[in-house]
Parts: sequence; structure tokens; C-alpha cells
Amino acid sequence: MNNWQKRSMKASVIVSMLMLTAVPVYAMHIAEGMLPIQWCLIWGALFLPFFVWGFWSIKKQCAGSGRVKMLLAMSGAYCFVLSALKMPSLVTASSSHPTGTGLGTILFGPASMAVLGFIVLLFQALLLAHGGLTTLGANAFSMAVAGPFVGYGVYLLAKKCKAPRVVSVFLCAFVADLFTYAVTATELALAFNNAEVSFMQAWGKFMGIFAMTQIPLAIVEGILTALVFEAIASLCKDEMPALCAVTK
Amino acid sequence: MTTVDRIAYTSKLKDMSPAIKAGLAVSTLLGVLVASQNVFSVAVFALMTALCTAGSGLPLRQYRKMCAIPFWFLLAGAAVVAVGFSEAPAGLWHVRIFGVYLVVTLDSLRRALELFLRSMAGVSCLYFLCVTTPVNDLLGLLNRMHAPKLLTELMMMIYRFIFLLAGLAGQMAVAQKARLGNAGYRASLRSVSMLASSVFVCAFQKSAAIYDAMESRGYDGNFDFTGELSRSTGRQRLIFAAYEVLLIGAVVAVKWIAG
Repeated sequence: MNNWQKRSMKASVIVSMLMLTAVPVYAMHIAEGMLPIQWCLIWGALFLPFFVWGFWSIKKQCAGSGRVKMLLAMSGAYCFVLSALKMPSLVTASSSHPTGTGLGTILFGPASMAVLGFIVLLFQALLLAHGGLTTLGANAFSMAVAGPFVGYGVYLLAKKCKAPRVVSVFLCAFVADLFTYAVTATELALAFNNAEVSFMQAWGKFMGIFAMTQIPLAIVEGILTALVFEAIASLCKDEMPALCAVTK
Repeated sequence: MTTVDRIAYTSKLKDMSPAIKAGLAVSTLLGVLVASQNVFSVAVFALMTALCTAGSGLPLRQYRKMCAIPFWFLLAGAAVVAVGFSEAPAGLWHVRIFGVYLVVTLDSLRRALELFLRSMAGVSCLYFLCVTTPVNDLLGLLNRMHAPKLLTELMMMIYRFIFLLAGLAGQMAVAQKARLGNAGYRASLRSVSMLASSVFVCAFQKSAAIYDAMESRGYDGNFDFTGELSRSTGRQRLIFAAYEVLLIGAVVAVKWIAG
């Protein structure tokens, strides 16, 4: 190898390392300014009905007592803290972050997750500069709507098939994670196709990168969620009878 | 997280009207997206850097450190956008994978650069809002804009609880580390799940305790915000209006020159 070859080899290794380490940490959110304005508006408009629906559902839940409101706020904060938690990662030396939507969906239902997820994303943008204000609609649609709803569907299906609780919780978190990334890839592909790169090619490109990094991540989050859920269920007997109904 | 919050509370522009600061950041952000031109993006990035450092009093080193994270991430994102597919070798650079060529053309490189600069400019606008405006002021602003009361209340409480739970999680993580909870992959997976479930139980108990404490002090299901939001002065409003006119003019001019 001559000097130039060595250097280009090094550069390519650095670039691939960079993609592998940088992408998983931030991949769940589309950064500020990434999406053209028309796509920001479209995804915002698509998210709005879910938000309104979730808002009414929360309002109904809160009407009875203030205790529920407090609990919902606490669980929103919990989702934020969970998503900032470092998760041991299989692929790279760096740690990655769970989305935390799987657990929230099972405990509080997908409708309230739409609102809580939106607030969590807003605070992530304002306090951590993850995601952004203009991409809030797109991020909320993939993380607070698409992932939770599909994950919840899978969870109900697994329960109906009489799968063990561990398995159905794992599947819910795993599928919610994967679907979130699939929708994010779709959002990016819709914005970044052109005459040279067709929609399917762009989608394949983003999905390829996500698949490389996110499938192991989704498996880890699935295992983690199942473990956490088991721990909560075992503690709930004496600590919080109100939640026992959910964990059954 | 705590650092951004601290920076916002110690900013020199903290007592400026949040409406003006939010208006400035959001309108510039929209301008960047609508214009989507490199010159404009660079100019906005420079302006926001000046406002964050000289205007708000953030040390340049800290600002550079804050910008480094999105810089590398956006570079990776732009690199992905720059790569296209082709049946035959073409463009500036190509490599054969699975029977197709991955190519980088001059056109795609230009698009990637545009995306990168636009995103960096957008991030700088967001940073301006983050480092000058405490979240409480923004929530007060939302309240004044007649956002649904339940929503602002939830946000208020979530904001407060985030720091509570993050502190708890931080303490637990230190305790686990001190007891070799992260020795090996299995142990660290177990530790993280234990931490997450313990934080959840604590959150559940705390929410009940906080409700009891508030109810015993006359909480009737409504939060009333009493804090005064700082109002804008006439001069600030004039400067803001002039800036908006300038911004719209610049966007139109840049669009017109680009065709």
C-alpha cells in the first residue's frame, strides 16, 4: 500500500466509524433544518389529529382526580429520563439510548403517548438540542404515533395468542422501535429523493443504515423493556396496587 | 441538560421578553428553511453565533463544544444524502457494491452541502432560543398565547419532574458503578434494567406524595401561574420589527437571485 492508499483507507474507516457511532445516538430524531419546509408542514398536519385525540383522552382520564394528572406528568418525565439513559450497546463501544415508547405504551396506552411523546420531544429539543422545532411534527409522528400504535397492536395480538408476558412485552418494544426507524427512514426518503435517486433507492439507503445500527439496538431495548416490566410487576404487589391491573 | 438550563438562567438576555426571543429564533429558522441557500445559511449561523456568545455571554469555547455534536452528526447525515446509485460508474467518486455503483456526483455533493449548512444554521437558531430563554419563560409565553391549560400544566410538571428523576437516576448510576454493576455485558444490562424499574417505582410513589402534599395545601386541580413575564420595551419592538423586515427582504432577495 502506498501512502495515498493508506490515507484513503484510514479516511474510509473514520467515516464508517463516524456513521456507526453518531447515527444511533441521534438517529431516532431528525435534526433541526434537515427537512424542507413543505415536509415539516405535512408531517405536522398528519400528527395533529393524533395529538388532539390523545389530548381529549388525557382530559377524560384527568377529569376524575388530580392524581392521574400527576401520574401522567411523572410518566412523561420518566420517558424523558429513560430516553436519556445510556443503554449498553452490542455493536459499538459507544452507548445508545432507548426510545422508551414501548414501556410507556403498555403502561398508559398509545393515545396518551401521543401527547406525552410530543412534550418529551419538545423538551429534548430545548434542553438537549436533540431533534428540533421544525422537525417536531415528523419526529412526533414517527416516535409518538407510529411506533406506539404498531407496538401496541403487536402487544395485543401477542396477548391474544396467549404468549408469555415477557415475550409480548419484548415484541411490543422491539416492534415499536423498529417501526419508529422505518417511519423515520420513510420521512427522510420522501424528502431526499430526486431525479438521480428514486424514492425506493433513497428509502433503501436510509433503511440500510438504520438496519445496520438499529436492529441490534431494538433487540437490546426489547430485552431491557421486558426486564423492567417484570421488575415493575413484581414490585407492584405491595407498592402500587393501581398498576397491577395493567401488568396482569 | 442541567448545563443548558443553567446557561439559560445565567444568560445576559434572560430578562428580555421571551416573546421577542422566541419570535426571533423561530422566524429566522423559517427563513433558513424557506431560503435554503448556502450564503443565507452561513450568514444566519454567523449571526446566531454572535448573539449566543457576545449577546448572551456564552463563552465561545462552550458554544463550540455545543456545536461539535450536531456538526459530526450532520456531516454523517449529509454524507448519506451525497451518495447516489448508478448502473454505470459515473461522477466524482464511485464504488461497486452488490452489482450497482454507489456514486457521488457534483450535483449530489452540492445538495449535501446545502443540507449541511441549512441544518447547522437551523441548529444555531435553536441554540439561541435554548441558551437565552429558560423553559419556564417559554411555558409562560405559551400560557399567554392561550394554549390549552391542561397542556401547559402537564409541561410545567414534566419539566419539574425531569430534574427530579434525572437526579435520582444519576445517584443510582453512581451507586451501581461503585459496586461494579457495569462489569461485563450481562451485569450492565441487569443494572440498567434495575435502575429503570427503581426509577419508575420512585416516580410512582413521588407522584402520589406530591399530590398529597399539594392537596393538603389547597390544590383544587388547577395551577395558577403568578410569575410576571418580562414585557418588551418600545425600542426592542422597533428593532425586532426592523429585523423582521430585513429578514423577509433577505429571503426574497436570495430566492430571487437564485431564480
